[in-house]
Amino acid sequence: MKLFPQVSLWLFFVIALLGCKPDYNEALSNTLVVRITADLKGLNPVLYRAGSSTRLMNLLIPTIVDFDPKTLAFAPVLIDSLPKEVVLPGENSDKVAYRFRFRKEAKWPDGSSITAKDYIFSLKVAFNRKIRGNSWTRVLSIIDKVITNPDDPKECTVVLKKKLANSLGYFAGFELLPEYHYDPNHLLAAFPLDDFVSIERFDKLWTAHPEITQFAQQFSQEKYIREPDGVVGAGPYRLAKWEVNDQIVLVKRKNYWADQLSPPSTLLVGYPDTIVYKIVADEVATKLKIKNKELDLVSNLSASDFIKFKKDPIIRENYNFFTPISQEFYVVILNTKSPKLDNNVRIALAKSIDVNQILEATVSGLGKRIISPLSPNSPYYHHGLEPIKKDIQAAKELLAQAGWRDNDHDGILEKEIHGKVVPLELTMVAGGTSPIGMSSAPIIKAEAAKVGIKVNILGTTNSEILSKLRSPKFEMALVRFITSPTDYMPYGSWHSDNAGLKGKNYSRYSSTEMDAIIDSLQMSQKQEEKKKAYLRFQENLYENQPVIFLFSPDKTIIVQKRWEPLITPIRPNFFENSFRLKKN
Amino acid sequence: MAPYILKRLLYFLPTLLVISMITFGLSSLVPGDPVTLLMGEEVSPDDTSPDDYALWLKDYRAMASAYNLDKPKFYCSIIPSVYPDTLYKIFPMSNRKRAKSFVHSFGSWASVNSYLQEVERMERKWRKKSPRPPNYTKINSLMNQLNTTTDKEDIQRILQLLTQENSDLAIDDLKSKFAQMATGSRLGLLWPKWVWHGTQNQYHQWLIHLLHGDLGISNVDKRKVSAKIMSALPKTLLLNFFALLVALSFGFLLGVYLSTHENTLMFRFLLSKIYAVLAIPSFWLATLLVVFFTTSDYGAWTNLFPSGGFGYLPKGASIFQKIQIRASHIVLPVLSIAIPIIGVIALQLRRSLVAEMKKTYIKTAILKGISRRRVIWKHGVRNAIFPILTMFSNVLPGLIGGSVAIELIFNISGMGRLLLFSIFSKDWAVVFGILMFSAILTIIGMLLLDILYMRLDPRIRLTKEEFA
Repeated sequence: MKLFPQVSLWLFFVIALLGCKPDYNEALSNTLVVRITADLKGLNPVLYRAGSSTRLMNLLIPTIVDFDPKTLAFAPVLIDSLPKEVVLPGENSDKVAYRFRFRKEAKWPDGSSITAKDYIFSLKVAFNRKIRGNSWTRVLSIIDKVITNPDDPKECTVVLKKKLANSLGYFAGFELLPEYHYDPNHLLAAFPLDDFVSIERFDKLWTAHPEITQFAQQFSQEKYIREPDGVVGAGPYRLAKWEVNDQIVLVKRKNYWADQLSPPSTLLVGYPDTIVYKIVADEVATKLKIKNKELDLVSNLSASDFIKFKKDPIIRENYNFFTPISQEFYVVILNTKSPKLDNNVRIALAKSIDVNQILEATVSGLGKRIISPLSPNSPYYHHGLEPIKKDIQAAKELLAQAGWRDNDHDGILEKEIHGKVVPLELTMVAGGTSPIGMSSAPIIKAEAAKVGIKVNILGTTNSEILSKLRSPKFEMALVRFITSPTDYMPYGSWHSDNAGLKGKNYSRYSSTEMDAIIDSLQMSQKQEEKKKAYLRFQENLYENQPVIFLFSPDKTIIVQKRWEPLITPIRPNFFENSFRLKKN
Repeated sequence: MAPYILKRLLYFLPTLLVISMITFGLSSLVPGDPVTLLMGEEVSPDDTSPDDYALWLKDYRAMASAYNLDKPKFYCSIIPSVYPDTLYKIFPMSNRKRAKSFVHSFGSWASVNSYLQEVERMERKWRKKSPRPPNYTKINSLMNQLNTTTDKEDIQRILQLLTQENSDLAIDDLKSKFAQMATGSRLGLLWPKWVWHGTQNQYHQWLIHLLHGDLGISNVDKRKVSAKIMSALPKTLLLNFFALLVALSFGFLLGVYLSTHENTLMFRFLLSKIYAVLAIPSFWLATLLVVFFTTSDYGAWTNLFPSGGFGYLPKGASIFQKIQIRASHIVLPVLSIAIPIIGVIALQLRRSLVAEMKKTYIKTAILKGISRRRVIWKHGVRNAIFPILTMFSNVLPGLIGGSVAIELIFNISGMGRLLLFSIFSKDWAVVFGILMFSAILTIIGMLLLDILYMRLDPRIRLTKEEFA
């Protein structure tokens, strides 16, 4: 009995002695160590399409075109130039078609060339509805057919069912998959793409041919989601290791085809030899790792930590600090169909909120006021519209004009609606996992109370927020959304077609003028016309305030000084493959 | 002994069944639509058109069917008599909720269903209308309101406005269906009815999978819950194995020392320190250790250990290097878990050892000339450890479940962190999988304890055998 404690104590003593050594520090070589706060869901672009993991996924499996981090416009990645609209002869002459050609240097890791066959294969995967959770089917439903050129295997002509202003982002904005790797048994090769595009034909196809279901099951295996040998694309890196909830390691491919490109493509370079994504959720652990220089790149720090770190002499000595504009917006959505929320009340609410105070209280001033859902980086952003200033007096007047009075002197305004006296009491849905959103809500409540509007905060979870927004009882909600860096497509969020149960126009805003602007934006190609329409679109929102646009918090990023980083407004605001080691 | 174990196992089965029902019941109560969670984040936010909805609904039904979410929850249900027996077949779940609220407002399912179908038919017809009339936006807006409201007066008002707009829509049909619905009686809501669903229900399917060792699929990354648990468990087990080793070793030595040196200066000193350590929460102790011993902030000599994680093993590292990297990462978390337990063991052992040392068989042994040290370790400690064994049967599931705070602070991807991340990401399948796993472990722990008691104490064995 006595022997046990003695032996085990000695054992632990030896372990402690072994452990009393500095950690092996990978942040010494050309290895970039990036902190992420949570593990990725998967590295299969068809099954997992989460914004935060897209960039990492594209280092392994790039898209055909992507946003250039410098110009903020679409740039060719796997093709030699951006697709051109073409007029097809014969029966297809009235259809919208685009032609593009894969780069002559573009190769898969096995050395074979990237061809139109891979594009067709990727579309067959996209339209294979037997793959559970296939996130591509609806996105690519605008594609009607693909025409290949027998004389040029790298050329593709895509025929679309309808023309959308942002078509390019759909038919070429997805990750290209190598057929040889994801379908080694050629299960899909025998079937034409047309059988996949049409829902009716696809239903007949899969019932008659078990290969379709077999492929779907094979494609959804762990191998093609998380395993180093399974996740394969034409990107500059290969997946070397994935330790679930711990770290993901990417290693630069040897003899990578895009290394020969001149000039090099920012989206395809791979300057660090290794990129290690470490999952560190705890703020204390992150701070200590920063102090020990164990992390090269840390983003998504809270504003208060960012400022604290900036003041810390040890951290300041070793790290550079960046605050690029983010694509995140905080807004208050108002149900325009609620009898309590007419134009005057919405504008009065906007005038009652001190957005600058919220900015200071929630993100220590690290953010920018916004007036519309367009990114301030967009060429169509309306810089002529001043953010609405807090004006309690004007807000009170607007409410009085709308017939709201505090007859019972309880501090809350009342009005007779449909024969009943109704107090101006609104329920604001807020929450999710956003600490910024949660801390903004009480400020809005306090500010609204000053003009006689009682706001009750209803905290909720991310999974519930959509059903709350679509509920008939919905009145207002404080939410965060992500905007596009360049072309913003307003149809989904602002057209009256989408103001029902099924759409994403949560404010139920409908106006004849707005519908006309959006319809024209869907079709217009000329820059001047587009700009004019976008400006009027923003003016319409500004005048009617179906949504109160609050602010866009800055992204907080710190990078070790040994790196020359590429920081950009495009999500996730850094392009880790473009980070270069400083020469000295 | 075998019949006794068998008997105990038979007792555990109904307990496990009840736990499984509670776990499943809880997993069904969580907010949000499980099908949309499985389908993942919605894409193409800016260009969606209502036509896409049909496609989405098709995918939704396929996903619900694949994960048995298109089946009733349990073997039977008790619902208001006006509800349809197949309410669970209405998809998506938001539509089910809407149908329910209509039944609550108007009473008769038949007339509600007929009205809702008419609204749907009218909407489809309206969407296909070409060319668009000048009042398109206005009618669109009214149609949307009609879709969202369940209020009788609101519907009446909207129908009146739609009539005024001369939209060529068959408003009269809808009006008559509404009138039929509005005159329905709500009395049926007061009468319950019993519906038997048979074995084609979600709980039954879940239980069958559970018996095959399948705890389900994660809502977030669609990995098997059992695979997620198995990847996190080894790290937690390793940490807790060493933590237990350290805690038992120090605890035993300290406990024996305290019981044999009562009322000395050292005794008082050690006792005060143990109480002080017990008063510090383990997450705070872990934070102190990590802050003081992983950076050079408090002097170069304090930068002794890495700040967290399980270590990065470079390619081609030798076994010694690998052990060294892993060892350096576990020292502080092991101490953070072990230190509070040391205090508990020491105090418990001291108490029971003092009581044991007063017993006559100990006095007899000493009088027979056996050395005091031998009497303490051979006889006293052996009989004094029973309370500690009982304590460990309670601690075991907690230890395997992992320490959320310690794993988070030291950035170790064990069971605790898995549980926390799963709660944050609303991955209830994993949360309830861990809950079920812990329940099974608790029962196994209790069984092992019973067996251990029988092995160590002949008196218990005799009683059990008589009982058996």
